[in-house]
Amino acid sequence: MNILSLVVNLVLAILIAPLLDGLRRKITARLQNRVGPPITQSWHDVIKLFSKESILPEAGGFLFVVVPILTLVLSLSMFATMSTVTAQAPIEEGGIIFIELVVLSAFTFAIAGSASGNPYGVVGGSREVILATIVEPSMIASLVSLVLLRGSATLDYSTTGYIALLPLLMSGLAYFLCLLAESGRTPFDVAEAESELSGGPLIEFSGPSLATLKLGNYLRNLALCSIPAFYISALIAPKLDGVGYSVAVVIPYLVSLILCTLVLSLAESLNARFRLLEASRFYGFVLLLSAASLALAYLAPALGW
Amino acid sequence: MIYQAILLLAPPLLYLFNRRIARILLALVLVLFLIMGGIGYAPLGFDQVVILVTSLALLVDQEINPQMLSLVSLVSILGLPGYLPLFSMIILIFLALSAKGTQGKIGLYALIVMPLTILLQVLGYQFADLPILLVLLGVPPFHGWLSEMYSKYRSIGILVSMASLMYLFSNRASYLDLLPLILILGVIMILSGIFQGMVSKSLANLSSAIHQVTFGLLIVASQVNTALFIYALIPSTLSLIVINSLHYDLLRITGKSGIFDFGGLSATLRSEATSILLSYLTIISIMSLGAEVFMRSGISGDLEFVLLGCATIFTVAATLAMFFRGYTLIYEGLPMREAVTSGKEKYHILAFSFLGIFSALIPVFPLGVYSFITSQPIFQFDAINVLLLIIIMAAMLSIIFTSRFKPVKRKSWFTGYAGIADLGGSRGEVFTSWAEIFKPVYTIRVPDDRISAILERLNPVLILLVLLAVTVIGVMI
Repeated sequence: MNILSLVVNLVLAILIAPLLDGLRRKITARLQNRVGPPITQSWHDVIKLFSKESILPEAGGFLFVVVPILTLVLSLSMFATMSTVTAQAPIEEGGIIFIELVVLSAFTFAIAGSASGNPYGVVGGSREVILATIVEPSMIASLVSLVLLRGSATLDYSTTGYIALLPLLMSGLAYFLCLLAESGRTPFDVAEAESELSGGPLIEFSGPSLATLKLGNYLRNLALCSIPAFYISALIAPKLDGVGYSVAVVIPYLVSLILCTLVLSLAESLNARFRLLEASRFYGFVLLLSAASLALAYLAPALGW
Repeated sequence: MIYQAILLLAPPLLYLFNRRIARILLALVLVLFLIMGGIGYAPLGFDQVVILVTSLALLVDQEINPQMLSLVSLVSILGLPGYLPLFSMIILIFLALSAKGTQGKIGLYALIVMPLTILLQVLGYQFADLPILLVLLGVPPFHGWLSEMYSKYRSIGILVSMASLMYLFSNRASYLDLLPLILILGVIMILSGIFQGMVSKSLANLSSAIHQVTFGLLIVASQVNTALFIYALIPSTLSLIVINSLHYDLLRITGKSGIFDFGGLSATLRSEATSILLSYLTIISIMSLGAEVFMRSGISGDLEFVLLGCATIFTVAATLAMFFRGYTLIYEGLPMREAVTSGKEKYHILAFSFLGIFSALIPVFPLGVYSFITSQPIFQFDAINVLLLIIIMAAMLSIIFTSRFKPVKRKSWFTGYAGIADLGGSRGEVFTSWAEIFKPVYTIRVPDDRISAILERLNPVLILLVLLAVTVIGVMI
């Protein structure tokens, strides 16, 4: 294990995850012709919540206490599996564990709602489970095709030679479409449904528990927004010989974060919220796209691509 | 053979007078078998040891039927060649069920698979006993038998499935040509278990779904990765015994069967809630490790394993949702509504669940047990149960967190529309949209209820005689 890379990843992630959410809020506000909160607003929210008292509903048991921490630990663990601004990943072959952590964390959020006992929380939780069941197979397929195309499960910036372009682009597109639902924002915020459920699964959480859950979600979103860096790195892989660290590592990472934030803000500003059935139809097509990218990624060497 | 005869005769005879004595005697006989195997007087294979130990562990269930248990144990460890042990087993189970006045779905399935088995045997296929195995394991389309088995015949179901699974594992070389089929059936079994579990409204159905998911993974592992199978066997069996026993204890204590009739029981049934949580985590973490193992094999270029890995990763998360839906509905998610007293066996059960999670966390333990029994060198299993480590870390951090931010307890919520008593009964109904979206999945089913209804009009003895006649003719041919 590369301890230095792990420490850098964790410190960086904790520092910038709320800032990335702040940036998204700012861009969304500007697109809607509002001034919007400062970029550091999400940090202020988290710090304020940690200073509040924590309220445990009478129906809340062991899971209600554990799930926020579990969400945070799962999100932090994602940064042990990939490179961010370091050339080497903390662990070898972390891609498989990353996929598993992404999928699991989607479902733990749902458990948070069910454990609160509040019917609105349960409704939010059940919607989250359904949405995750619809989205996660596409997410898994697109990430696995990335791993297959790179020929390695290690999520770092090492070049592996020429990579078949078509399956890579298909996989990248499927990943971006999944990211819209994974980030829990409009048009796919069916779980939280802020206009009618006031936060859905989060409804009973308050104070430090809510802060922990929010921080966990910011970290998860940051981790998900970091993945396109490996698509970009794979795209420019053949041209990376002799370029410096900043071009090969930092630029793909920054481009990835900015690109994802822009896409999420645009999607949030330009769309109304989808209903659950509409989301299921939409992700049926995304599943086909990601499955096709997986098949092509497997066949690419045989086809000579 | 004399010891096997003791195993067969003694408990049923004593059962006529006292069930407790029958259980104790059966336990003594099983221990005697293990000792004889241990000292080399009557050497036992790994599968036989697993069956004996499982039988022994199942005796923790108060309501176990020692007659059925001894029958199944006996037939499972007889060691007859070829398909005969399973064949005998199915006839005995069929007899036992018929004697109870119903043959249920097993009667129908037996009618389908027995002639097929004979035909495959006559044609000289090595995998002639596969149809029977699939029925006994409850693989789709025969999974209707599972819900029947776990709701009516309880712990025996685990032993029947375990015996069939061990047979499938021991004879895996015979099924090599059918590997893709077995893998697909295993994955379908897991997925259909999840879909059933997600909409189950009764505790018995939830139990069946949990068994189906776990055995699905074990079936897949038994055919593709020996080390993974050996690793998964002990913790998952212990977890299933815990879940099975506790679910039925709950039914017995409360007299309720609907999953929405419970809620908030963790306040009074602390050790039971802990045991269930540990067992769920054990099963999920085993699946997680399985997914990683499959995916690692797949990345080296085998598409079969890539797809298997993708399916298992999804399964891990979906199973987590299914388990915790059940857990929150039964043990949490409502303030305690009524005092429920604990079952008597809770400390045995708690010990089982801790042993299960320990085995899941330390792969060298179950692999070492296998090595000890078979006198083979220990398997190299270069994998760490990452998910379990993360969850343990999160649980430890939660303890620190709650000591730092001590939560203030708040009274029950009130929605403004309905009180908790009204909402308690309809908490699970929000999952109707799940059934709506995945309707095509639920509409796929064998019309076994209709055919079973026709079969129930037939005389079971007549059916058995016909089956025996077909068997004799088949063997003669």
